[in-house]
Amino acid sequence: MGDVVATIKLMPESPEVDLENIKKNIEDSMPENAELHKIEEEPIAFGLVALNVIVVVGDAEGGTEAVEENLSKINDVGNVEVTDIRRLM
Amino acid sequence: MAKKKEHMNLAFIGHVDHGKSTLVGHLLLQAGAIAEQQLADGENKFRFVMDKLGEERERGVTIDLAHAKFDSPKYEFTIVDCPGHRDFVKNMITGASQADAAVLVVAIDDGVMPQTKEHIFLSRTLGINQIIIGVNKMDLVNYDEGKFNELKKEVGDLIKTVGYKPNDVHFIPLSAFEGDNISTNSDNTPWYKGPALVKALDEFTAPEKPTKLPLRVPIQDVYSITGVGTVPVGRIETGIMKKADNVIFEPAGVTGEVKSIEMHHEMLDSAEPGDNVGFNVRGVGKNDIRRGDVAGHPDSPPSVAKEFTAQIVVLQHPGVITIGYTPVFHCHTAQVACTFLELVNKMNPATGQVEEENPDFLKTGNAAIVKVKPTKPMVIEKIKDIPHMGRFAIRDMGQTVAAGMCIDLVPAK
Ligand SMILES: Nc1nc2c(ncn2[C@@H]2O[C@H](COP(=O)(O)OP(=O)(O)O)[C@@H](O)[C@H]2O)c(=O)[nH]1
Ligand SMILES: [Mg+2]
Repeated sequence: MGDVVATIKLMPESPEVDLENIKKNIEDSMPENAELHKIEEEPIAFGLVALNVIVVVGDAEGGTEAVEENLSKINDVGNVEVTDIRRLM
Repeated sequence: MAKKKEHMNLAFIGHVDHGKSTLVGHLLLQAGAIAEQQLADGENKFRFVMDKLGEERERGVTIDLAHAKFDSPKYEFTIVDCPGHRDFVKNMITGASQADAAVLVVAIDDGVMPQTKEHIFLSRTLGINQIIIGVNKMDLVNYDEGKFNELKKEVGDLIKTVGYKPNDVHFIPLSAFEGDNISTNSDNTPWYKGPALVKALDEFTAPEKPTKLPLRVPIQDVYSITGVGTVPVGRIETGIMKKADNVIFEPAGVTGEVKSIEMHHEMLDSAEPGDNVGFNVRGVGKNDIRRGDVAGHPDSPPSVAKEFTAQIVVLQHPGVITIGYTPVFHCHTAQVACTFLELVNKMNPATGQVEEENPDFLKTGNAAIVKVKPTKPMVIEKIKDIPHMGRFAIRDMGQTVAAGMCIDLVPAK
């Protein structure tokens, strides 16, 4: 079994949310099988800024499901979408 | 000044352990992407290097490697080594990074395996029309031409069933270990007259942006922004959206005028396929539209399906699929439960031939044509009209049970 690196895009609830606070909550919300690599800000439009969360999970049952679920529960996070997945060598 | 190379996303697919990672590693190595690891005597030190990498590399290095680019003489490739587990299929279908071409790796000692078949079906479903077959581990059979030809015939028959033309596809004898036929033709296979892998990659055609297809923007989110108004956010899949265009959102059925478009916080006069945009629409309230709706132009509006016919492949299902089954279909940004109305026929995935008309049930491994009915209005397009909007993953009980594409539909209006 290998590892998979996923890029998960978090959209904020509004342009006014506290991104630093969301980032902190992301760190705290990682399930056991996932390893947070980094978080990048992506400006979208009209003041909205998305967060791209790069995580490593096993190439195994469940995929990114648990991470997606935890991330979507974070305050001020609108929706959560996996935009890229690929295996690590 | 050198012209910027065109870019392609290249997927590596195939049964587990057939050598995808090793082959990707080799390509990156030759492209200098694993620069700090010096290779003293050429390619056959590869095994040693991979082992070393395995011991010493840090997570950050591996992650960067996974996103590394590889230059062939003609193109810049981003290589995607596809996850093996089926639970990632949903992400491959609804996610953003669409592969433009694929290398299917089949090991000569193992031959065609279940995942080989599944990946061939999936790559078609994912809209990958260009493919190369890498027959790997040739070193294990002493580079035997007869064994290569046997496997070539078998894989050729298989890809023909999903519409690839074996005569137009390169079958390349490889050893990802020894580096045979990767960048240059190998002395170990004097009988092979085709191109080495890197040369074959250059024969791919770079995808054109689907700007001529009708406008389709699946909505990811809708905001009401102070001082601006209603702002849907989404990625342009096909067509072009311009400022001052009238747009219709389906299945909501509401129309409005595009007042402004932004991407990366910059104003755009028009947006094209691949652009992640927010656009301000006048005449539409935040609560009139929602995630899963699709914006288009009123003269060629998104298709709302009352029923549709789909070609599916069942990836994993603990029991059987029968008429009445109602799992959730994930299609673009929409998630809609759909009921199986009719099992039209079942195909043998190895031959593509119809095995049974109106079967009583479908199970793991089956490919089939089915008719389904969304439990609420849903936008989907025929794969041959707008391929980007015709694919879906079927999820149930926390698993991706099947993947498929829409081949026909009954419009709701
Ligand atoms: N003999 C031989 N072994 C290979 C070759 N390519 C890969 N392997 C071995 O096959 C196994 C699986 O390779 P890997 O690249 O991880 O396969 P993947 O699961 O498809 O990514 C490993 O032990 C590799 O060292 C090859 O060309 N020849
Ligand atoms: Mg591997």
